[in-house]
Amino acid sequence: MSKGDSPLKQFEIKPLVDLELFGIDISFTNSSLWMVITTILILAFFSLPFLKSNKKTNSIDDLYPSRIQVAAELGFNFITNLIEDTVGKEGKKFFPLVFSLFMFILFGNILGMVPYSFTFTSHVIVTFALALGVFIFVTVLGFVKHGIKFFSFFVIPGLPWYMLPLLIPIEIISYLSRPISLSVRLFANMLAGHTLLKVFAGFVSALGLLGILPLVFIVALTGLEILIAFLQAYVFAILTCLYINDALHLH
Amino acid sequence: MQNDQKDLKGLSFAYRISSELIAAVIVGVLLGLFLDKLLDTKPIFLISLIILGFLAGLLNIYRLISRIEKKE
Repeated sequence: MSKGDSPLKQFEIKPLVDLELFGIDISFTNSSLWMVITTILILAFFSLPFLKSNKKTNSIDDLYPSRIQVAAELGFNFITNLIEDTVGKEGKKFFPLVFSLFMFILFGNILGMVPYSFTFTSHVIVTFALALGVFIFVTVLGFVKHGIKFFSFFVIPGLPWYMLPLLIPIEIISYLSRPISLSVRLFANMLAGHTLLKVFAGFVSALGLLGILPLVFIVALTGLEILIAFLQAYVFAILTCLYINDALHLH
Repeated sequence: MQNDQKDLKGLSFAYRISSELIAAVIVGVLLGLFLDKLLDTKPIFLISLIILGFLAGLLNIYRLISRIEKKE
């Protein structure tokens, strides 16, 4: 392995178009490029199968949904069931939020598995911005729904008063840890997985004929990475649902 | 399909438990450093909030596990 091929090189951010606004660097980087690609792909995935249903050809084929439409509806159903399981009927209006978060992270993770692509979810600032958005939304939702009574969220009911000075700080830390745990879990899994893949890929050429062993391992690891890509998007979505549920029904 | 969902839930719990513990400690450290800088009381808040953060992490994990038991 030569010096330039560090396993961490894949996470480098390169500005493609240099931009500056009020002294703040807002360059269009490879990270932003892949976010745009992700968004375009999601839009295409969910609008293309439904475009053709406008033309009426009166053939029997119109009655059957296309394969891509079934896949898109599967995604819809998956998130609808998730919201109904965790939040209940009231959660219906938060479907757009949870669904777009889930799809953005899922497509970002899966696109990161394509060779020569860039995994923007492997940067803590991206995942932290997403998690902070969820956190602020949930807090505002709690205050809108319950007003000042939202503070009773930090008080466990049925506790003797002399325990409160100890438990209220614990509850506040536990509440503040939500965006951290959301973002760290997603970014750490993507970062670790992609680094591991690159490290083992380096062994393949270094070991010569024996390199077949790490090669087999990489194939298995790629499958695991795709599972993790889906699982992390799922965890992010289910936790968003749980936080919405907590904000709607205190305790 | 039903079985798949159950496996997914189990795996997601495993990932959540591991991250919940560190996240609360990180918050404790950051909050402690911030309060110490603000009030100029060097290690007092840092130490006490690390301990509280660890306890908060344990509380989070306890809640997570009791939620699994409630479902089954």
